[in-house]
Amino acid sequence: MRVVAAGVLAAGILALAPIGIAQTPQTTAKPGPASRGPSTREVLDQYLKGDYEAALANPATLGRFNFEDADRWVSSGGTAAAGRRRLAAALFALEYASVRQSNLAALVTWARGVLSRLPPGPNEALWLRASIALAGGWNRWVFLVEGVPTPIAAAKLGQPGVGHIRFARTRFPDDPYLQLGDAIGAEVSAARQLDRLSVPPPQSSTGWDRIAGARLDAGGPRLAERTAALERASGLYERLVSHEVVAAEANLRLGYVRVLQGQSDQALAHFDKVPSLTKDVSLRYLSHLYSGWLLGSLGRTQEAVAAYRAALALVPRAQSATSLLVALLLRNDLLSEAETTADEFLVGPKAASDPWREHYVDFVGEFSAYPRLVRHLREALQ
Amino acid sequence: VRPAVGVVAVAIAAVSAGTAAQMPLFRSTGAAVHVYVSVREGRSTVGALQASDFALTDRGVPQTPGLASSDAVPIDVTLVVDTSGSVINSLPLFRSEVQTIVGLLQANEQIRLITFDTEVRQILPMQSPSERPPVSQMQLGETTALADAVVMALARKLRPERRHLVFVFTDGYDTSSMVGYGALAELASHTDSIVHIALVKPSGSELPSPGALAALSAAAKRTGGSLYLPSQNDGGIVSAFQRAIDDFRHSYVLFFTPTDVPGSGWHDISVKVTKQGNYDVRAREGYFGR
Repeated sequence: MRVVAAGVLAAGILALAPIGIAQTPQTTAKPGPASRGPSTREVLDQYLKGDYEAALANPATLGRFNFEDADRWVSSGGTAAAGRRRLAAALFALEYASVRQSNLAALVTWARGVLSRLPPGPNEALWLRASIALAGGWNRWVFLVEGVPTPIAAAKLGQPGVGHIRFARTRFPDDPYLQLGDAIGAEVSAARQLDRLSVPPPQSSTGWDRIAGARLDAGGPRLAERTAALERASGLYERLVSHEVVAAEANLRLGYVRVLQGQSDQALAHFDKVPSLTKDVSLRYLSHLYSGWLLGSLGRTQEAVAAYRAALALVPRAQSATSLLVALLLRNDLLSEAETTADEFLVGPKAASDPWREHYVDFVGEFSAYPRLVRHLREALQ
Repeated sequence: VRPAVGVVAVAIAAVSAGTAAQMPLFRSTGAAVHVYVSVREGRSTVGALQASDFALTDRGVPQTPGLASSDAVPIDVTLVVDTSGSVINSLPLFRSEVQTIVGLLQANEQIRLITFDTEVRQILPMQSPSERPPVSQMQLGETTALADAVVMALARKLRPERRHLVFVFTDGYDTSSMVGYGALAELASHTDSIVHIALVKPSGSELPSPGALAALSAAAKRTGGSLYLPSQNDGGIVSAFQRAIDDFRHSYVLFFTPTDVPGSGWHDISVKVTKQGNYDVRAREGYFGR
């Protein structure tokens, strides 16, 4: 799994964003009497047959996902088909949630309940990862970490507030992706109040300001709470830094947490490990970017310049590393080098993507994970 | 004290306007500090001041400045224009104002155009104002990387034979820069550019927070420039630009070699006109010594 956005929160292992999803028509219009759309059962039948596009076009007219009808549909196939029907219903609910954001918590909570009536299996684990990715992409951190957002919703669903990530970990305690997601949730909790994460970032708060402001030594509100959350996150990441699958991301994120904790040497050590642990360009880029920022803030200018240059060697003319590098050069009165660097950026073709922007800005997480996970689930369904 | 590059690094060889046309006005020595000073009385620039009419202190220590005319030093202008989603209502006006501003420049001056939204782009490289700027390439984007764009614009080595004016039009919001607002004033202090920022009223929202405005204002003032609030822009951005470049064209160039001033780091500069009158004196607030 790729991920990322180191600590910078938001992103997520699983995080990903709604962009791919947004291509599906979105509407909140409810069907009128003369244009009654298909029922929940009819849509689920379509989905089960593999007619995904038609089924997913229906949310525009479906109006409301009827949980009771869906429960009956799952049960109607008999014991032999129960597993497949459960997966189809859960996966449809997830994809439906991707175009009906306001129903995300309810749909995901219902669907996880449907899947969890059977013993844990690989498809359920994959579905949980996809659901966390989707919720992360929509910044539903309250739901992910604390549970359904309101007591009314909890009462309606018959399930008290259990954070979705915690639920997932209960089902699959040893899954490294879910462990990573748990750590990210703790890290995000430390960064901001969760109920503020779904609103746009504060005006005029830039990347540099946010990182500096998030450091524990910068003080600020909720210090004890943030300290505890970062300690929990670091403890979870520590267990994963040598894991064969998620080590690179765990090191990147743990390094970022160490930055926030004011442990610069440890942070740099974790960032330094990332490039040798993965071929993922985004993870490697971000490790150099964070190293550059931290080294620059420590006055280790030459090393910081080298780190930014390493990031730009991976993603030429990426705006994030270029901006920080140019600022560093200006601060050190290296105007000629600053001009050359800025000119290379301004004159040359832009980077196709900037890992920082993909993973951080507006808390949009890693995009690629969700579509890939859904694709795997669809394949499993057939 | 070895003054920081950019702020300084230049000494004035010729000190009279009369000789400026015949010989280079500046030469690099790495020893002297030069300060552009604009002096207004009411709406008019004040000319004909002598070096003895100025009182200049460096870290509170009186210095003895020399004076050179800057008339013979052409200006390079970098326009930095906000094209983010929040200026959607202003973009057509911005295009038109860019065209007008280019028309205000003199033949020996140069212009370049940088736009910013999520991305920072150079639409027009530094060149003579004789050609029409490709304003159709100013396209509306999404988020706002204001501080990053200003940093890119400031990244310009000292050209002893030219001066650099950075003029920014924006609603003042920044949602996606890497560089923080809080760093802009310090970064601007390391360059030789003068920065003016003209704010327009954002589309459907209020002005940025007082903290953001203070940071932008500090960045401009550090260099001797100004932050123009929408309420001060009744004449539009063009009017603000006209004032900024007029001031710069008619500014005095004071130069001095710091004397009895201890240490490296930030040096506060204060410039006053001692001659009787009600003057508005603008100059950079200091420089970094090394």
